[in-house]
Amino acid sequence: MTAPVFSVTNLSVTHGGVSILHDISFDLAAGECLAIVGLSGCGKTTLMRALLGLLPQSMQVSGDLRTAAGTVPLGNTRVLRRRLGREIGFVAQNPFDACAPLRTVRAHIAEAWRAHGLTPDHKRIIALCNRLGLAKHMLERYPHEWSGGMLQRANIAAAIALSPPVLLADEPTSAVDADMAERVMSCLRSGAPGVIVVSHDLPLVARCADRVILIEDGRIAAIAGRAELSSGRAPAPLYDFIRTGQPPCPAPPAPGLNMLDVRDLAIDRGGRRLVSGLNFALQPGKILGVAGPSGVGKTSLLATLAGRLPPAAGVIVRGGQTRAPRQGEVLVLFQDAVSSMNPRWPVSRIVSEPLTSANGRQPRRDRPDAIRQAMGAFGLGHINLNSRPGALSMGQAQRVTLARASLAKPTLILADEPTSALDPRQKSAALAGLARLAKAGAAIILVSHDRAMLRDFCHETLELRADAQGCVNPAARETTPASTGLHILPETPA
Amino acid sequence: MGRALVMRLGQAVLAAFGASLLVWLMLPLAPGDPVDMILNAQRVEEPTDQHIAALRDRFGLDRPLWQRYLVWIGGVVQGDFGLSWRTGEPVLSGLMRRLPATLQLVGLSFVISVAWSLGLALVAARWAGRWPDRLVLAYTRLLAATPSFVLALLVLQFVVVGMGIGLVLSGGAGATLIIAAAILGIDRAAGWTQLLRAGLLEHLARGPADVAKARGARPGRVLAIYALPAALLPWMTALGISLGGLIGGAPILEMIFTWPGIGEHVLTALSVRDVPVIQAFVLIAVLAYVAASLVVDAMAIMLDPRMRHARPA
Repeated sequence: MTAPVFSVTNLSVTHGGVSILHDISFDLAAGECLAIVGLSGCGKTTLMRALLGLLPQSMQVSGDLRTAAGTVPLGNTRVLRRRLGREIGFVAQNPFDACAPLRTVRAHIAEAWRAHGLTPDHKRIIALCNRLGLAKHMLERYPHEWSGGMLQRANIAAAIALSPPVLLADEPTSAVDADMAERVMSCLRSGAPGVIVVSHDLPLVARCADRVILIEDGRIAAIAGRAELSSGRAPAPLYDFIRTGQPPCPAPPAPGLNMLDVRDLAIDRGGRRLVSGLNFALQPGKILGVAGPSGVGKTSLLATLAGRLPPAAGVIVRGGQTRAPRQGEVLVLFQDAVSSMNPRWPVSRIVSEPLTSANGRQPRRDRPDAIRQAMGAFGLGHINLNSRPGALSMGQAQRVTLARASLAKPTLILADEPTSALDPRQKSAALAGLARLAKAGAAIILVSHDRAMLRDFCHETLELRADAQGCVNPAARETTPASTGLHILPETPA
Repeated sequence: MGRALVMRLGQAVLAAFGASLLVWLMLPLAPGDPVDMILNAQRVEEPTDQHIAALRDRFGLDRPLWQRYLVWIGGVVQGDFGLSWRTGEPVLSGLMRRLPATLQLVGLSFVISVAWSLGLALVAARWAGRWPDRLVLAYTRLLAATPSFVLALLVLQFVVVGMGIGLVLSGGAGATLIIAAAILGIDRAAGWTQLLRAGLLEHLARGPADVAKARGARPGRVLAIYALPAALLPWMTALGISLGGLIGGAPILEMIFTWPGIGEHVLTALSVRDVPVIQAFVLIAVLAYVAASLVVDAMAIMLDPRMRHARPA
């Protein structure tokens, strides 16, 4: 291994006497890609913000950062600031949140120079755009006129403008659609000699990282190289971490009657044919995954099945009849579970709302039992029933919507990216909840960019393509029974 | 951008038209016979029948409502607000004689309050949580709770009388203008400072500011380039809205400092229910408000690229 280009020694962060990060030290060699992984709340975001001098003044930071330009105490933001941009480039998670909406993207990239009082080198900006595949004329446009994948690459251009030896990226692909993610990752890799990626998505980062650091409770729990990880010789906590993200195995669908039968379905949106000639059938308990690039019609398909968008052609047969869905028959789960709940209602009222509607009405005195039972079934027994949605974690919030769905007893559940905001442990808990709803007799359509998850969790996967032709890959699960979704996972985990 | 501006202009014209209708309705909707109100304004105790009939004819009170409105608005468009019931002179010339002094006062106080709240909010946000911020917060809380006439009386007592700066009976002297404008402006600035400070702090905590800091930008630069433009948008809207209040608040201060503005004239008109004068004053204030909103909208459109579409998403 070559000499480290970037090393962090004894980084600790405390807040009001409570230790958040404890004695973190690691090196980065030239040309290396290091992944920092961990569950939500483990301290990886604090670690990243400490390296960027972004922690509030109320937190005490100690430890040193050593680069070719010398050693800086991480607690001294004034000294650290002069290194930022020149020694560490930063790529934020959500490209739209990273760019000031009132300024052009060119101004955003030029900030790399202006932040240090330098004159922007417009030739270099053009050269960066050419290298990252960005159109020059887009530079004068504003962020809201860009697509996410393009804007994320513009962010990378801004981060590498001053040629820092190290790029620090926070979940750089989670806000970008899956087909763009590979492109963004390769831009990152080629952008700077050393790359640090902070993520909770180990399968994604494991594909590009040379080394993985697992953070648990503010400490480094394990470090392993890629070779060790795939050969099964890495420390045990890493495999535990991988297993927490494993989707559970849902029960096979009940044989017999098709509760939903879609024949030759075509969907138009904005005068354009998005989907045509789509055929599939769902039995109770069936889980159908839907994948495809952004804008291909996944959300429109859900809207059509929910009865919100009339089909352009074809028929949707529900329970043997061609009709619109009845009230309470279809239920939608959203990516952002918190904003799908009334922020002023207590959890108990949110969960029991289906029991107050016309077809599922239950006497008031029976509701507390039903609520407790539903909450317990989805691992929420310890939650205070009077808390409001804002007090829940993303994972808990998503499971509250699942508990609500279990009381609503819909026959069809449409789930739009329900797990993409969740960390591995929360994700597998949410998927277990979905499997539970399927077992109770609901058919589920699960839309996601996460193909590995769909392959492992769904009975079938529907691949929507940009040429308006959808195709169902039946029994994907059966064809790869031993698939783990993680190619680095050993056959027999330690 | 042009289309969005034209649409806002159209909306402003519609708003002005609607306002004129409401202002005009003040008269027919007011309880009592307008003739009685006219006679009252003229302090005529026992009118004859001929006198009443002459008044009805002269002010067009025997015609249908819509005709009266059309005649009135037709005159207003040409700058004719009718005759004052009290003095019988044209309403507009009476107002115009005093308006420049009021505009001086309101304009100067507006400039003072904008500069004052902008400066204080920037200082507070730059040193958020430290003593400059606390000082600014204490000031805004105190001033937001103090009515401007109380402040004016205190200043009159301790600065003008006590320290001998300015005049008690100003009659239009410059020093009094500055004192009155400063009181009106500083009092008004308290709420604006709170609003802008909150906006600055909010945008300092957002993604773009974080990314700028991660590029190595100094705190002052992050504040000026990333937080300020974004925080200015809602602040400017608030400025536009309270401009009307600024004009409305001026008469009382003018009375206290005997500033020869529109205040005394309008207060007299109010006390004798001289409706044409009140209508003209309210309409001028409303038009100033509509114009201010239009300017704010135009500035927002120039500042925010997302608002340049005729129908923002």
